[in-house]
Amino acid sequence: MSHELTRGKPATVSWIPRRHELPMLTLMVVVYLGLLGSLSLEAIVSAVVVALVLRVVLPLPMLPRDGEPHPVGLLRLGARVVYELVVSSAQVAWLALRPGPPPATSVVAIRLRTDSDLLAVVTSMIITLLPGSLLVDLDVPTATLYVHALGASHPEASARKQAAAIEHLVAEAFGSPADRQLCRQTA
Amino acid sequence: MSTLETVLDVVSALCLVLGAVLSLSAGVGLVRFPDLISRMHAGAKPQVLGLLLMLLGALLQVGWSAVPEMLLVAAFQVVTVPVATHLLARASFRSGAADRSRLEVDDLSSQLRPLARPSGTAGPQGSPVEGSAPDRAGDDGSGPVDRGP
Amino acid sequence: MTVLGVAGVVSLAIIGVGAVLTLVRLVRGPGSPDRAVASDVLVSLLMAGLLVHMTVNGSDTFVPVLLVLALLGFVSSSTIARFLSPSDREGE
Repeated sequence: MSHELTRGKPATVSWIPRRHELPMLTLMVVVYLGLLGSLSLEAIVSAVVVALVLRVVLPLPMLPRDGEPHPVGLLRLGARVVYELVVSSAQVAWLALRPGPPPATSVVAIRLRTDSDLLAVVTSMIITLLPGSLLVDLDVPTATLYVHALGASHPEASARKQAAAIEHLVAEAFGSPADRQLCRQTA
Repeated sequence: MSTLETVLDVVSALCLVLGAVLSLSAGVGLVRFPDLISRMHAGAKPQVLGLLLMLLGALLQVGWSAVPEMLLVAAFQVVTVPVATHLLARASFRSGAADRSRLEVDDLSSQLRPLARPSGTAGPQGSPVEGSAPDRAGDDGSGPVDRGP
Repeated sequence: MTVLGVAGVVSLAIIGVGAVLTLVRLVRGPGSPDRAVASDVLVSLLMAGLLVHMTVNGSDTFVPVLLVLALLGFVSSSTIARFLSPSDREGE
């Protein structure tokens, strides 16, 4: 596997944060400041203190870091997700509101091309976010998604196509160069 | 009222009504769809877009002071709704609460342990664990969980 | 009647209909998962109603409420998911 993942608590947690924890700490400070709604000095200081204390008191297991986030890839992923969200929401809302028989459903098994846990989770959560597809189960060793598709005329084909497209976008945004190569080969 | 205010008002009004219609479709789908997992689709997804639209409409009216908090609300919604929906779908599929006979294509049932008959014993059993390696996707792992007081 | 006022009333009415339908599912839904989904939808509808109020009045009083609902609104259904057992199947 292309990740180093420690399950459960890390072995040693020191008060001094390590370099790889900085993104998480920054995110915590930003969220704290956003919740407070102010940017005063007291707010920033208390945000930093809370973040530092929390990472000692409630340590999280390490996220697998396959590759650095790619800004262009992130933007493309975000734009595509927003577009699909709008279109698919309209479709599902129409399916719910229109008169007629209820749509057909199926559970499709989809094998991902890449090997990474992080990519699998992000891809599957985006698939679940988009209306019409919902992750029912996830087989980690074989990187297989079981996706429930709603109202698709050719459920297998369209579910696989969507999953492959999203996997490609996520790999371009978050993945390691090896993952991106895998996705590009079969694109 | 200035033109800009009027435009903002109209846009906010549109966002409100569209968001409300999407929320309505969630309710309608909940009642109309015959199958548990279809209801999950209808209940969770268009609702997310509806809330995002209404957040935009509210943001236009309330002004810059609320931008960070609204962005956080949007981010939290986008992150928590898929996770919660997936957990519920997974648990109900594995425990047999979802009706599998309506599926056209069913690749998953063959992979899971066959459904145990309800034995009538009290107490939650958790979800049956797959024969293959323990999964990470959910937290209802196979190990015993401290359910004490 | 301002544009926003009309839109607010219309939106609240539409959301109200959606809420009543969700209540129907909450009462009828055979089994716990249906009710879990319905309660999740009710929380989201609550957020929607608060957003309508915020938009029409231009007040940010309820923003902390929205934050809390967004963060914790899904906990109930996840907890139900954790404890689903085979006896919760439809038709109980």
